[in-house]
Amino acid sequence: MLEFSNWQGYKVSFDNDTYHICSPWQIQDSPVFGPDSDYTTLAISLIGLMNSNSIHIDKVSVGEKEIDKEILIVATGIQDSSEDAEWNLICHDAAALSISRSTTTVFQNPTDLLDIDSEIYQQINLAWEKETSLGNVSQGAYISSQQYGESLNSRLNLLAQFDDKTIWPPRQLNDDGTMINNPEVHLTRTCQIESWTKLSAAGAPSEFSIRAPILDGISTVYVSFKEGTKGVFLLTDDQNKQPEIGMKGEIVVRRIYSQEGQIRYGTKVQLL
Amino acid sequence: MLPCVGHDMVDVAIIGAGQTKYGNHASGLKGMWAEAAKNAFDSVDQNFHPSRIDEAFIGSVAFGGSQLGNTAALLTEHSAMKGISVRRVENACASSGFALRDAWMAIKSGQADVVVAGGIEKMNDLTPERKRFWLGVSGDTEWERLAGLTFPGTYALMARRYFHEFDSTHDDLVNISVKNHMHGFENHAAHLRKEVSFEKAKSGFMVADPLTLYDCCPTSDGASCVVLAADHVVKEFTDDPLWLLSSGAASDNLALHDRPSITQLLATQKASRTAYSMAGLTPSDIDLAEVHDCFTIAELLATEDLGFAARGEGGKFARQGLGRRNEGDVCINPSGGLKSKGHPLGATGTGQAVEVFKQLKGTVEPSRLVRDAEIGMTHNVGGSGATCAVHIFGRERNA
Repeated sequence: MLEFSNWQGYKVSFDNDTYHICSPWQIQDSPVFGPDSDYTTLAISLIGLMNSNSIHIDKVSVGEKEIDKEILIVATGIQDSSEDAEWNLICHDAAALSISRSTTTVFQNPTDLLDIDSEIYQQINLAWEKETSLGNVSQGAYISSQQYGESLNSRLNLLAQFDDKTIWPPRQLNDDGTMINNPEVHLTRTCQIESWTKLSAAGAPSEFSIRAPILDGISTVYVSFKEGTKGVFLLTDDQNKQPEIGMKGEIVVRRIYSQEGQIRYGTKVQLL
Repeated sequence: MLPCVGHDMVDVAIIGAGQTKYGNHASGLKGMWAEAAKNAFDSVDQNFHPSRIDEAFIGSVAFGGSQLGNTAALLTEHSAMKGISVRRVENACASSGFALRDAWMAIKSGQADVVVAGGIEKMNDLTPERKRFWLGVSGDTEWERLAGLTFPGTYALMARRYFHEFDSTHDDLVNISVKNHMHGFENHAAHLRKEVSFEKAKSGFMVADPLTLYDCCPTSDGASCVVLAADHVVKEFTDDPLWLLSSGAASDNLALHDRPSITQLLATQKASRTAYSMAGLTPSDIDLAEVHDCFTIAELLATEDLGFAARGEGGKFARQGLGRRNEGDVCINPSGGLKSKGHPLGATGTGQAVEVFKQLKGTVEPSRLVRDAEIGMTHNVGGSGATCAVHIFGRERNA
């Protein structure tokens, strides 16, 4: 029996050169994704865990159509290679995946998964389906693919600039009119809650108009990093805790919304 | 910072001001603007003809995206101002505050003698989703909006942080809401003409925790128009002008996370410092102020940033009812403010000037007149504080 621990809102385990990760939610004893998670967010989180354990992956054989490879590569820095990769990324039928030196793995569910309301689960999946369909014209603010892509590295990796002080999100000219250097400093992924709000579905931006009523609103936190910068983030959608000023949180990658058929990933805060 | 040019150049007077009622309008853009312009023209004491207008500046955010381009040309075409130099001014909710500033500068520079500043917005004919879209485009789209923030959210973050840093609770915001509804109740131009009790305002539907429905202004349709004139032509139109003593404006980082503090608006502080300095006045000289209370916490912060209360004392100021009409040193939002009078985004700034004009000229409904008022102020904020325009008006040419 594998022993699982908590990591970035997920369940993780290690077994003979194989790392496992799965959603903490289940329906009828089978893991299912939370409202803003999928295989891509699980994979990014698991590679983050491996990195934090000093296991650095250069190349991985992804080969799974469920993974958004572009996001995975930007968020983790790995290369996708099926020929000379030492590691294989394997998506399981349930909301779980493994990264292993082997090409086959067996995944056993954790015993302490939480039941998710099956009706809400269905509604959220339908909402994502609707939001992601090309026929859906978002009433949200328009952020082009180019604009989204331009800041993606800084967004997913908390990559900051340095110009006498740490700057994040990135800026252009400094007060002297000099172009600030490209972002190359990683912020720590832990933060402190400085303020927070929960928006009712009626008060949430139009981007979230399909899912916010199902989630009973969305929560946003204003946080500080130890490097001195500040940021605003959504809380992860399946957060059970209520935030408080002074509480610590961790920056994690999740689905944000969908535009023009493309799921836009970004960073949210998981309270610690 | 702009030089204090006010004392060495042309002085500027307000000779007329008018607006539509704020609320849900059956008429479209052209009709609303024409009504506001006509009301402004009719308010001029004597000998006014629209052919005297040299230039016009009209503030608007977008009114749902229809006629975004060449807005001012269309509107002036339908309001007897055809052929003059016109432009739309956009600075989010401070659009017409900046239109007023542009009009003031046009006269100050000597390029025009009679100038119109105004604003217009119509959004209640939009679907709720489309309305929220347009209400949200003035914030930081790329970072804040994707963190779930619209303006109720950004101001809610400010409010919770303020309560954490200072001796204040949500009850202080409730007091502001009750006061502004009381002031707006007797204003025939107001969108929400109803008084609310403390208990009712306290128990409103939660919009963005801790802000409830009674902390949020309505989205209104409306238009407002002000006619300005250079000192050397004023006597043609009135023996009793209102003088626009000073104009201050500033900007700040768009996103909250790029500001050193979210419990004060630096743009307001900077704009008001300029306006006070140019007019040779201090906060204690102001008898009434129309401040930008898009959310009640915005009024609380403004009372501090404009110097009516010390830093951290805005809650106490509200608790003690110091901004009530004819009760404290300064009346805050005698019109009912954005909370009760309403907030037609681009029309709000010059709508504030209309209120000050009528108050200082003594032409408001008698029951809501601020007694013995000589000096008035308008404070118009764009978004969560990225832009701000502050103007000071006086009964006397040199206050």
